[in-house]
Amino acid sequence: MKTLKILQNHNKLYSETASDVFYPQQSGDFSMRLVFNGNESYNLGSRNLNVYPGSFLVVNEGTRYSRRIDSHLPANTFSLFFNKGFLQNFHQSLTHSDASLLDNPFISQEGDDPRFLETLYPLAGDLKFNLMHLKSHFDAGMDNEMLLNEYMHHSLLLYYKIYNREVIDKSNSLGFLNKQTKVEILKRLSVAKDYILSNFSDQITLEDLSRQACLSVNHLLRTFKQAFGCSPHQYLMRVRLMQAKFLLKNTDYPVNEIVDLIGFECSSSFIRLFKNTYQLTPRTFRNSEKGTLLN
Amino acid sequence: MHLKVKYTPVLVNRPEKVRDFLVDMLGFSFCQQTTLVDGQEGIIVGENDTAESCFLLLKGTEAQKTCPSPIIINTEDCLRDCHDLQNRGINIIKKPEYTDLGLTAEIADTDGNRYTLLEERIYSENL
Repeated sequence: MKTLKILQNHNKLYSETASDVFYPQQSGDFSMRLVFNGNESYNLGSRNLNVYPGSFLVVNEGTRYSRRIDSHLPANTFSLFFNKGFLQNFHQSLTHSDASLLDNPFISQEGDDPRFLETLYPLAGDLKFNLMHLKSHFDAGMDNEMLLNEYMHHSLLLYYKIYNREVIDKSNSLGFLNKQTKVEILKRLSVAKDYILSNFSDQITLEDLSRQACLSVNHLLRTFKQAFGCSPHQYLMRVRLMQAKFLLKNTDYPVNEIVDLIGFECSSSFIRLFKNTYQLTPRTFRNSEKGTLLN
Repeated sequence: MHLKVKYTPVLVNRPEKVRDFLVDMLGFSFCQQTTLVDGQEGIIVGENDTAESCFLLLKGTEAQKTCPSPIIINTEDCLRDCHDLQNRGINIIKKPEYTDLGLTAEIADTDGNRYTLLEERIYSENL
């Protein structure tokens, strides 16, 4: 099932529930891509990215991509498309002074066409809350375009904050003097991070990551920790645990099946890690989330 | 001992105007006139007659009203409610703002009383 809403200012909202679809050769406005259930695969140039609940993908205007949903349970996706003028206007309002906006409110200037790092970003905090509201209004068939645009405006505002934290701050935390080097290293590290987020259920080796990111193993280990505050292995464990929490909370899959789905080789090591991290066993966590825990 | 907050006293210029604003504009459905032990008149306003906590609107003295606090009201969706209230002509004096507690905005009635809309958000849960 697909639902598309095109607003008068040409911003768009799109929701799809499907099990087996493939869309080759896509391109469009700047967009944010989310998955509420299941996962969706994107191919951007030579990169394959899987979007799972808990993260979202950003695609710049004009980028060519293909996308696929291939899941035994229907995946529920939601995308926000920002019209070029809306995005430019928003960007100007953040980057220009009030005086210059009053003098020149409608003319876009060179360099006002923002481009972002096309990577997987964490879907958490206020952005997650706002997008859940937006999705629920969209699903309920809301026609109030001003309010839908207000949500889209706030989504951009919060995305800029995430971008600053995930891209600007992280590139600044890299121990290189040259700004261009920092940016290039962060791009490569993002490829490694996206590879972990997209393939956490597989057995990922450091050599895989090093090849994906075009960085030597030692260089990758050193810079990954500078940017993300943990080693690639610790990051992988964190992603697996977060996915385990999602599956425990939102599905009835037995723990053994979840262990397989998130890429752990044995249940006991998963249960031990889960308990050490959250001070709860997976089963206790599931019961407490479903409100059946006594006391 | 297990104590709970039941009535939150709010000192206002004209309790009846605030009651009308809370009932007519913000949708509170329960209100009741009451007299306190010292004979002071007050108005109880709440979500319904079994609400866990209600406002107790009291007429404040001039000294008490010099720096009135905003009345804090919980909302499920701050952006939606601000939008609705604005469309009904209510002045949004502080646009929606992200805080550690959640999303807040501030509105005012024609008497100058301030109301903070608070959409509480728990940020520790990521999924």
